[in-house]
Amino acid sequence: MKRIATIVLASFLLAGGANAAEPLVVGIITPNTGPVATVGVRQLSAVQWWQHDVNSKGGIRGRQVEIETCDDQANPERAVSCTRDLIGKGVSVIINGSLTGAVRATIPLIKDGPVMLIASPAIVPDPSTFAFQATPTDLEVTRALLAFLEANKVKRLAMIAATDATGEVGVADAQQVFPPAGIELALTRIDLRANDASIQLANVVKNNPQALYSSYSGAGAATVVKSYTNLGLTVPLIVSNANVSDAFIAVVKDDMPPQLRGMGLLTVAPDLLKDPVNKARIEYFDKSYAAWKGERADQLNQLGLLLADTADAVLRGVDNPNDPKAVRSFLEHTPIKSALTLNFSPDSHIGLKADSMAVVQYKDGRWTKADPLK
Amino acid sequence: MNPLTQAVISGLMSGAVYALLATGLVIVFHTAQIVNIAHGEAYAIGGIVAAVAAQAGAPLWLAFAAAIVVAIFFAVALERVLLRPRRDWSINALILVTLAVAFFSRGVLNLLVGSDPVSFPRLFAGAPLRFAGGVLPRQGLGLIVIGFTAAIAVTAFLLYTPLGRQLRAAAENPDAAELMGVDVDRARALAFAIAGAYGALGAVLLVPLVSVDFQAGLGMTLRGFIAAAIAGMSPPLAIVAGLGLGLAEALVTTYLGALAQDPILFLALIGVALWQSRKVRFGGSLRA
Amino acid sequence: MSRSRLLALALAALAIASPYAGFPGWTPALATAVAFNTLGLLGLNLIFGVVGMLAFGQAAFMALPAYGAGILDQTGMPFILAVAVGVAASILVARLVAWVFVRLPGVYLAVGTLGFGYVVEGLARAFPSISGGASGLVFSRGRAISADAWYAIAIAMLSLGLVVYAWYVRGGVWRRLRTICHDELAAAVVGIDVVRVKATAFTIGCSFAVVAGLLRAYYVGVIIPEDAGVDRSLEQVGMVMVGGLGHFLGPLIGTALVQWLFMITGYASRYELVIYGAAFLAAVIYAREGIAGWIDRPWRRLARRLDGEAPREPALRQPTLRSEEAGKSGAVCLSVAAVSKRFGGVQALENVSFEVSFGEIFAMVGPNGAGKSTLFNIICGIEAPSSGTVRLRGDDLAALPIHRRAPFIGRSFQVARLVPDLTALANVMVRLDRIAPQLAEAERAALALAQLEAFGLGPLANRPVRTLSLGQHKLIDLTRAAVGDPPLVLLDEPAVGLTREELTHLAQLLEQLRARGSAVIIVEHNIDFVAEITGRGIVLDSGRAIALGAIRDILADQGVHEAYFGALA
Repeated sequence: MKRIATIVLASFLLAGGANAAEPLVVGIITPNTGPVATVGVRQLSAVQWWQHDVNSKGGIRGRQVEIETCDDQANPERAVSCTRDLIGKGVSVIINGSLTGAVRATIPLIKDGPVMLIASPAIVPDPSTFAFQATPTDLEVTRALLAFLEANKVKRLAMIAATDATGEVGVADAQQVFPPAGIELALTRIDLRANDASIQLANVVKNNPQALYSSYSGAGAATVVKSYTNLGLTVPLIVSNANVSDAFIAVVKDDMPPQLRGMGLLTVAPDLLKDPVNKARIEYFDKSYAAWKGERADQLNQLGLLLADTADAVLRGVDNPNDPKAVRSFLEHTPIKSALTLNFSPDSHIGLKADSMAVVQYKDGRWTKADPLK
Repeated sequence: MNPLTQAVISGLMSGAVYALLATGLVIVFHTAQIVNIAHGEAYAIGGIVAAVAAQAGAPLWLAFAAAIVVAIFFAVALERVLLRPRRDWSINALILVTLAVAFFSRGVLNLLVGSDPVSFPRLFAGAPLRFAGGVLPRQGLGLIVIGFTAAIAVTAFLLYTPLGRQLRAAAENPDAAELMGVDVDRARALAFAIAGAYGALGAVLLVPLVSVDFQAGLGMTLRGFIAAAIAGMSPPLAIVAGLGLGLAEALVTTYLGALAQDPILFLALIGVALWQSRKVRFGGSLRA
Repeated sequence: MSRSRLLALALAALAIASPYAGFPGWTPALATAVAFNTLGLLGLNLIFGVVGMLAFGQAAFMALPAYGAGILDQTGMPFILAVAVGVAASILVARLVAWVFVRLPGVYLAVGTLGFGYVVEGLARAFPSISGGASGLVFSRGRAISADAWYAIAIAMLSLGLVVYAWYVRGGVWRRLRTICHDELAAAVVGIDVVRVKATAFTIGCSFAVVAGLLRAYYVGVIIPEDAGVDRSLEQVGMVMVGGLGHFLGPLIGTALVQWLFMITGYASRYELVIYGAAFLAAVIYAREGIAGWIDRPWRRLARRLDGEAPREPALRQPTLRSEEAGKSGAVCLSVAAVSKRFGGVQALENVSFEVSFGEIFAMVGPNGAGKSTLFNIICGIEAPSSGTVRLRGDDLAALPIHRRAPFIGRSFQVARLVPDLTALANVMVRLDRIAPQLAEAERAALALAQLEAFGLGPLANRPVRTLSLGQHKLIDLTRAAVGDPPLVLLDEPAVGLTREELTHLAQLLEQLRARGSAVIIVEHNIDFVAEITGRGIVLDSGRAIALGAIRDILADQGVHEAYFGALA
C-alpha cells in the first residue's frame, strides 16, 4: 500500500508541477497486460526509447518530449477511457498500439482530433478521419505473401488462423487474394485458448500443400510451431509478422521446423532496404535500442519506432502540433522518413504497402531475405 | 492422415492434462473444501522455473526437480501462511484469497520473465510415432502415460489408503476428524503439496509441447475446474471427465471447426451439469 | 431529514464531482465506465452477494442486450423498438436461464453460468456477418453525446439503479434472500419457495446487467466477444468481493477501486501487475468483508452520534393470527399411516403409524438413529416416504412441497438453523413473512417481538444472531417454529442445552401452544421433561414403533426400557 501511496503522490506532483518550457506531450495506448501484452509492451518500449533518445539530444525545438501511457488491456471500454483522458490532457498525437476492437472504439472519439496513429492491420482508416495507419494492413501483408508464393510457384497453400479479429480478417483477405491468383487454399482456425493445433494442422495438410501459412499472431503462435513439430511435418512454414522476433525463436528453438519463413517488415533485414536514409535510421535504432534496453529490437519494437518517428516528424514539422487539421494536412502531404518511408495521402491514410514487406528467414542468429522454397 | 486417429491422439493428450489438473483441484477440495483458484499457478510457476533453469544451463532433470520443488513450496506456503490462519473464514472469502494469490503470482511471474512465452526441451525427444494415420510425439506419449498414471495413483491413494481416508475426513468434518486423531493441518498441507507437485508435473510434461507464459495459471485452473465440476468434485470421476472433455473437444474441432468448439462444448457442459445435479438439493456440495 | 442522511448526500455529491478534481487517474471517462459497470454489478451483488449464488455469467448478460439491440438496429428496425426488443429478449433469456440454473446448487451453478458465458462469446465469434465477429459490433448512435453528458447519464442511471436496488432489497425480501443464502433447507421449512425466489432474484440481478450492458455498449461504441467472456465475469466477481459482498455500496466501491488501481498502476509499467496483485491480496486479507464492510461499522457509529438514539416505536397491537385455523381440541390434527422409508439398503422407518390431536403434546422418543429425524423430515416434506401417507386435518400432504406446508407446520431443528447476520427478530419474522403476508411489516415485527419476549429474549431482539449464545439460538429457533400458532409444531430436542430458567420458559410456551389448540410433537431425550409436559408418545427403535400410548404407560413398559433406557445404562 505504501508503494501505491508513493506512486499516487509522485504522479500528483508531476501533474501539478508544470514548468515554464512546456513539454510536448504524446499519448500512447497499448495493451500492457492481458492476453496480448507482448504486442503492447514491445511497441511501448520502443516509444519510450524514442523519448529517451530525443530528450537526451535536447528535445524538439528546445522542448522536452513527454509521453502519457495508458494500458487498455485490449479492452474497448478501457481504450475509450484512455482516449478520452488523453484528449482531456491535450496531447498532440495519440499512438494507439492496441487491437482491432479497442482501436475501433477509439476512432469515433477523435472526430475533432488529435491525430491518432494506429498499428492494427485489420483496420483501414477512413481518410476523412484523423486516424492514420502506420503498419501495412493485413491485405497488404497477404499481397506480399502472394508475391513470394508466386515466385516459388506454390499452387496449394494451407493456412491456419486464430479465432480472433486478426484471424477473421486474415481469412477474408486470403480468400480474396489467393484463389483468384490460382492458388488453392485450405483453411483452418484455432481457438485462442487452445494449446494444441495438431488436429487443425492434420486437417489442412491432407492435400499435400506446398507451403503452410500461420497468421496467428498472439503468444499462442508458438503453439502452432510446436504442434507442427509434434506432427513431424516438413512442409515449409511461414509465420506472420508478429512472430518475427528473437522471443519467438527462443520459444520454438527446440522445435525448429526445417524450413521456417516469416512475413517481415523490411526493417528486420536492413540489407533489403534501398533508401540509405531508411537504412541509417534502422541501424541507429537497432544499435541504440539494444544498448539502452539490453536486448535486441524485434519487429514489434521496430513497428513502435515507425509510430514514434511519425509522431516525431509531426512535432518537428508542424508549427502548432495541437492543431489537428494542420497535423493531418502535414501527414497527408509529407513522406515520413523513418526506418521505412510512410506515404500517407488525402485519399489513403495507410502509410505502408506490400512493398514494405518481404518474406524473411532466420539464419545464423539474424533475419535475412528468405531462400527459395525447396 | 486420418483425422479421427489424430483427434483421438490429441484428445488423449489434452485429456491427460485436464485429468492431472482436475485431480489437484479435487484433492484440495476434498481436504480443505475450497476451490483453489491459485491451483493453475503451480503449473505456471513450474513451467517458468523449469524454463528459466534450463535457460541458465541447468541439466534437464535438475530444472524439473527445481520446478516441482518450487511449486510444492508455493502451494504449501499458500496453505500455511494464508489459508490456515483463516480457517474460520467463509468458504467464499477463502476462495477469494486464492484468487488474489493467483493475481499476485501472475504479477511476480511477469516481472521474472516478461510477457513472452517461454519453453524448454522435451524430456522424451526423437521422431514422433506414426500409426493408423495419426502422429504422436514421444513427449505426448509420456504425457498421456504419466499424466493418467499420476491422476489414477492419487485417486487410489485418496480412496483406498488410511492416510487418504483421513484426508477426506479432514474436509467432511474437521472437528470430528480432529477428535478421531487426524492431524487436519498436516492433511491439508499434504493435499496442497500433492496439488502443487501435480501442477508442476503437468507443466514439465506439457510445456515443451505448447510453451507457457506468465498468465497461463488462471486458464489452467479453469480447465481443471471444468473437468472437476463435471465430475461433481468426485476423485475417480474427475479422471473420466478430464478424458471425456479432451476427446470431445478434439472431435468437435476436427469435424465442426474451432469456432464451433465453445458453443457446442459448453452447451454439452451445461447439460452434464444439469444431469449431475438432478438429485442434489439444498445448496449442494459447496455448502451442504 | 436526519443529519446522517444529509452527510451521506453531501458525500455522494462530492463523489459525483470528484472526477473533475484532477485526482491522478480518476477522470470523468473512468468514472463513467465505473458507473455503468457498477450498475451491472448491482445485479451480481444481488445474485452472488445477497443470495450467495456463485454465477459467472454476468458479463454475458451485459453483452446480450447490446448484441440484440445492435443487430436489430442494423436490420433497419426503428431504434427504440430494437432497444426494447433487445432488452426484453435478454431479460427473457435471463428468466429462462434462471429457470434452468437456479436448480443447480453450488458448484454446478458456477459451471452452468460459466458455460453460458462461453456459449454467448462463442456464438458472437462464430457468426461474423451478423454479430460483427471477433472484430466487434459497432454502435454509432452514442457518438453525438458529449463526454460530460455521458457522465451525467451514467450517474443518473446508477442513482436510479441504486434506488431500485435499495427498494427491492429491503424488509421481507432481504430477510428471505439472506435466509436462502445461508440455509436453503431452513428457508424452505419456514415457508420460502426457494427455487422461485432464487429465480426471481437471478432475473432481477440479470436485468441490472442487461440495462447497464446496453448503455455501456452505446457509450463505448463497440462490443467484442470477449466482453461476454468468463475473464470479464471473473474480474467482476473479484470487484464485487473487494467492494464487499452483499453490501449496498460494495459494487460501487469495488469497481471504482479496482478500475482506478489499474489506471494508477499503469504509471508503474513493469510493476503494474505485482502492485495490482499485492493490493488485491491486501484488500482481501485485511478487509475481509470488503471495503464496504470495513467502513460499515464506523459509519453506523458516526450516524448514531449525529442522529442520537432512534425514538422507540410505539408498541403496536398484537394481531391474532388464527383461531379459525385451529381445529377443535381433541380432533385429529396429524395422522401418520404405515409410513416406511428406505435409504439405499437401510430401512430407516418401517410401517410407522400414529395420530396426534389438536391441543396435545406428543412425545417421540428412541435412541439415536431410531428414525425420529427422518420422520420429522417426512412430515415437513424434506423427504418423501417410500410408502404410507401423512395427513394433516385429513388432507394428504404428499403433493405439497416443503414451503407450502409451512403455514400448517412449524419446525425447530436439533441444531438451530438461523441466519447469523440477521437479528433475532428478523430470523423470527422471516417465517411470518410467508405465513402472514396480510400483516403490515410493523405488525409482523410486533408479533415476532411478543413471541421472543415470551422466552425472555425481548432485549436481544435487535442483536445479530451471531453475537448470541447457542442456547439462545435454540430458543430463537423454537420461537420461529411456534410463531403464528401453526396447527402442528415439530420440535427437535428443544430442551438440549437450555438452562433451568429457559426450560421453565419452554414448558410454559409449550403449554401455551397446547392451550391455544396446536398439536405439538417433541423429540426429546430429557425424560423428566417429557414426563412432565407430554400426554402421549411413541417410541421408535431401528425404524419401528415399539410402543405407543400414554406417556406414563410407555415409561413403565419393560420393552421400552430394554430398547432405550437399557441402551443408555
